[in-house]
Amino acid sequence: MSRLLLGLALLAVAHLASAAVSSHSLIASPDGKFLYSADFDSGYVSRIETANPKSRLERQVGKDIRRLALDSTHQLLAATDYRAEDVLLLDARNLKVKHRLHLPKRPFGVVYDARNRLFWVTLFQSAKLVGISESGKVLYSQHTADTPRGLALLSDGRLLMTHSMTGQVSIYNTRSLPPTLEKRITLKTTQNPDQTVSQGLPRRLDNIAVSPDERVAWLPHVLWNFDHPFQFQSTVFPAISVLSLKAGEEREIPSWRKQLFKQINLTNTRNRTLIVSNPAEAAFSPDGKKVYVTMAGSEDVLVFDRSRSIHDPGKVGPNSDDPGAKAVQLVRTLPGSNPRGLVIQGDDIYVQNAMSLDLTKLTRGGNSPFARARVTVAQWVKLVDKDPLPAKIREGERIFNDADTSKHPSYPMAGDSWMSCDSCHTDGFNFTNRYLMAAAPRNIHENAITGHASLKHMVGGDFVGDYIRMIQNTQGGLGHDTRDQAKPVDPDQPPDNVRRDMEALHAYVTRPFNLPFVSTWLRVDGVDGQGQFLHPQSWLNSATCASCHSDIFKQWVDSNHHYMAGSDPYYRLLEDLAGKTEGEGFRAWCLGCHDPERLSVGEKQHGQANHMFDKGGQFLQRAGLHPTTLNDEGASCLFCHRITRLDDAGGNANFTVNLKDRATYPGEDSNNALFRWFGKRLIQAKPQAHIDSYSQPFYSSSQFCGSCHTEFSPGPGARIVGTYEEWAKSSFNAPTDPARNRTCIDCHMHADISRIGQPVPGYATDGGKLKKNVVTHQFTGANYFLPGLRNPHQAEMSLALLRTAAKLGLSLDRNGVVVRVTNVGAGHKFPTGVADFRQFWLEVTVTDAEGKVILANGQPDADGKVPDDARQFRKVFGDKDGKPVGLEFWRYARMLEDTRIPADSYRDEHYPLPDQVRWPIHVTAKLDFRIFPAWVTRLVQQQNPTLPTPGIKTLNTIEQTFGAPHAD
Amino acid sequence: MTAMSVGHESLDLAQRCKARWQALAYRNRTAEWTLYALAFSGLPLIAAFSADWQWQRWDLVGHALLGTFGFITLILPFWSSHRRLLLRSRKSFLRMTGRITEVLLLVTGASGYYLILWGNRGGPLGNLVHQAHLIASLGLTLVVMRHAWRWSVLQPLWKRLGLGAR
Repeated sequence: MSRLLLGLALLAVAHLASAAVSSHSLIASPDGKFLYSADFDSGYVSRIETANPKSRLERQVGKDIRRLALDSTHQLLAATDYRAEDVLLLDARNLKVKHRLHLPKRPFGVVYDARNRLFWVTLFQSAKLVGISESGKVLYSQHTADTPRGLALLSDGRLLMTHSMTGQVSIYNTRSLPPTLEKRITLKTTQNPDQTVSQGLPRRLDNIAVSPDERVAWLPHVLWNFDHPFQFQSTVFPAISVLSLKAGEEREIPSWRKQLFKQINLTNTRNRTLIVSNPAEAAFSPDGKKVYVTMAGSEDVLVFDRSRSIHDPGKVGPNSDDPGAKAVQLVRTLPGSNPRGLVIQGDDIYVQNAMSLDLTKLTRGGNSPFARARVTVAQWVKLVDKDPLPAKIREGERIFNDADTSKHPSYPMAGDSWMSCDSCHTDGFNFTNRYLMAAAPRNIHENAITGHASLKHMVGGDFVGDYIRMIQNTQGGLGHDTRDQAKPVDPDQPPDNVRRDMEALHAYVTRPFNLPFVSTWLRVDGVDGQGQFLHPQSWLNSATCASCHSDIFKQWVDSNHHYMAGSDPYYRLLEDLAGKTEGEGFRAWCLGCHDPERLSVGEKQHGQANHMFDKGGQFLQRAGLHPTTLNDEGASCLFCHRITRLDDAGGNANFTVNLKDRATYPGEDSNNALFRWFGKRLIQAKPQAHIDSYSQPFYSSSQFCGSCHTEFSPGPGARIVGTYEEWAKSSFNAPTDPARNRTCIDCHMHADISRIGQPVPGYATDGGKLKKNVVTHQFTGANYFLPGLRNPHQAEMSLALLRTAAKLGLSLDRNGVVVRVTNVGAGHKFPTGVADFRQFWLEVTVTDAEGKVILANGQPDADGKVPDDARQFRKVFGDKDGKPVGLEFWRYARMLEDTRIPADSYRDEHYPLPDQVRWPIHVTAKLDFRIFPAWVTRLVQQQNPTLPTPGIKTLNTIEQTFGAPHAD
Repeated sequence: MTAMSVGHESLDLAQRCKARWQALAYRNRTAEWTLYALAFSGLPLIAAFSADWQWQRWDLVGHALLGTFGFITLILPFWSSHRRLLLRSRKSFLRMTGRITEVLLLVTGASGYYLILWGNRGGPLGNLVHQAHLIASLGLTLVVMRHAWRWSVLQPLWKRLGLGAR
């Protein structure tokens, strides 16, 4: 009897783990009675009875439901909510939430593991694999390689995980827990001189389809081909890669990759190859002989036949040209919008349409190799009764995902169904942007643009015109490709319906989690994306913080991190120029870091008040009585200390400010002085909530500073400032060597520049704890001039820091004098930041034995102009035509000159000596610095005559006498 | 009753004050309720309880206001009057718990005023005062419960729990 029970138990376990399971957005219960649909950003989950589709249950459970998985009892349904960053466990019968786990960032894939009785979930942005019990407890959480997304669990316990943005697949062993990594496969990257041939980096691997015999896995994805300027028909290609799953010998089979023209080469009646785009999900027929793939962009189902190809990957030799499967049919065009998930039930195919929120039913037409799939019911069931998204935003999102040329032949978003915005901008605008920029390696001296070139108004200045230009030049849409009767569109004067489409697209692009201010990546939690902004009183006057943090306030208030917008006349000049040349909306790019409070409350430009000479923040102190009515410039206390999320998208203020969830004390924000006094008493009585509310673990990370100290041009994506990256590559980034490690804070927020590297005790709170190393808030940087107008001590600190950056050396070579400038202390390039405006140069004087000057270089003239032949350390930006951009640095398209010195490196400047030198010679070399060139200051002074003229500062000097060199 | 009233009216102001003062020593109810209310409102403010901040912030207001004003107007006058009894008490237990109560009351009150007027700003003294307030107030609550057992406002509760004084 016991043997019988044991046998039954083993049978049951074997049954539970008998088939591979994958993460999908549309799934069926094993008995086929129900379909479950993750309804994406409607936030709904739907359950449909297949025998009676009218019997449908829908429930809004979150914000953006991406994937579903059923447990072995079919009563527990796990769902990932990508935007709310929750994993939900629902009762599969009524879709009520039983458990909700907050799991940042961006939970995506989910599968049920019957062997271990848990759900595996990928956290896309956090790069984690999480195991969740049926009772809603996190049992395992471990880091993975970047961007885990799709999941598939094989019956032998191997867990496949795609890495969407790096083109990799990891294989974990879940037979013993925690899971162990067994192998990581990098999908092949191909390159071809002919840019119209399918090639590029495998990206956007969201799903895995495993064959019924578990011999192969199909991975739909795209290929990013960004090694050349974007152009229609060469930037993105659809592809499906195939893995051999033989245990221990897992590998990609390159010859089985399905690519355009080679293995996806179906033609229409006019013998023109049909183009498909954005492969989404794949599913095998029950006998494994056919594979059906949804094409989310071109809105098709592509059918592959495997019956006449090799099935066993083990029989595919290294040089085999067997395709593994042949594309035999394209079901074009599906009636729904943006097909993603699909489920095969016998002869039926159910396709989930993410934008129209419905299911289309198709028939496979039988199992014959000649069977033809066809649509049987265009809208078999509506998934969500009432779409919660406003119609305009839904339309904008549809356009963002749309590459279906045939549906809108006059004004299609893509030519020849080639690609959509979503082909590159995965799920909109988010951290994946940094992978886009990384995928475009550039020789910046030839072309620094990684994104969209030929924009007329940098997007923000005129989004309608520039959206059209992007769609035309990259996707071939809106009249660029006229083969399918598309009408021409003038970006500057589009027809009304195209304008409406672009406005709808803009409504989607400016949703709070995308780019609410278009040009900057700043996001404000609390702005609802409907064209509304924060109330000005959401912000606090930083002077209110001074009552307890007086030293910190004094340091900050005069600093450049405070007065960096309306009170910085150089900034004003440039922001005004940006608004004038590109369009007023483009100012937001500047405001995101320089004036975020004003931007967040709906102001379109810097403030008009100028506090350039205001010492100690007197105007703030005066305004302190009405603290909630002031929107100050710069990085205020509340701004920096309420950045609650970093999304490394490549810079441009890629963070979220959250004011609505801070822990406030009753009375602290009151306009009534007595209540405010009492509120402060409460803070001091129990300060922990206050401390927690204004601290984040990442505040000490250099990446935090890098959010603004990394800039790229919005749209073109040319890297304008890369200070963080320069530091990250340097020897100063040594987290495992504390003696060597120098973060941004260690130098720029240090109380005593002469003691960098040593702790300096001090107080952050009046009467508070003596900190071993107080982090001061004067933000010492290269700009000694403007803070110096208010605070000479800060100017001295800046100059002291600058003097630690570079060391001078002198030597002779055959041709003359060599001045070596070594970047010993900057920790990033010397100079960094706005090195296109900073002036660092060498002033060299050589006198002969009689004291006669025989060489002079770098001496400014009477007007303060540095001579053209001076050796400067700088970058010179050029536009697309190779002309210097001057003040319009955002038009940077190629690097004309780059004489900056990387950290740990040096630059030798050679000065030939005249003939017939009377030895010995005396050489004097100075490293000079001026904050802005004289011509820029003169321009600024025309706007602001009270601005003094910044002088030239000599940072370092070296002198040496040399006798005649020995002849070799 | 009438004679008594007439007698009271004939007393001068000082005598009437003295009589009231002496009577106050026996009027423990308000002071005791205030003390328990302070203890009850203080508990959720302890970090270990991790109460929701939206609840805590208003609890903090109540605790601070009651502590600031209730201590001076309700607890301190009662105790000043009441301590005369415990000094004279023949019961050593009451004398002992009374003494402890007095010390704890002093520590709790002083630390409470320190916290509300100056605050715990993270320094050693602030932390010490914070801890002192927490520990002393917990101790005070327990000692007072025991000290006042027979006459306590909590007597109905003790009775319900089968712990009532016989």
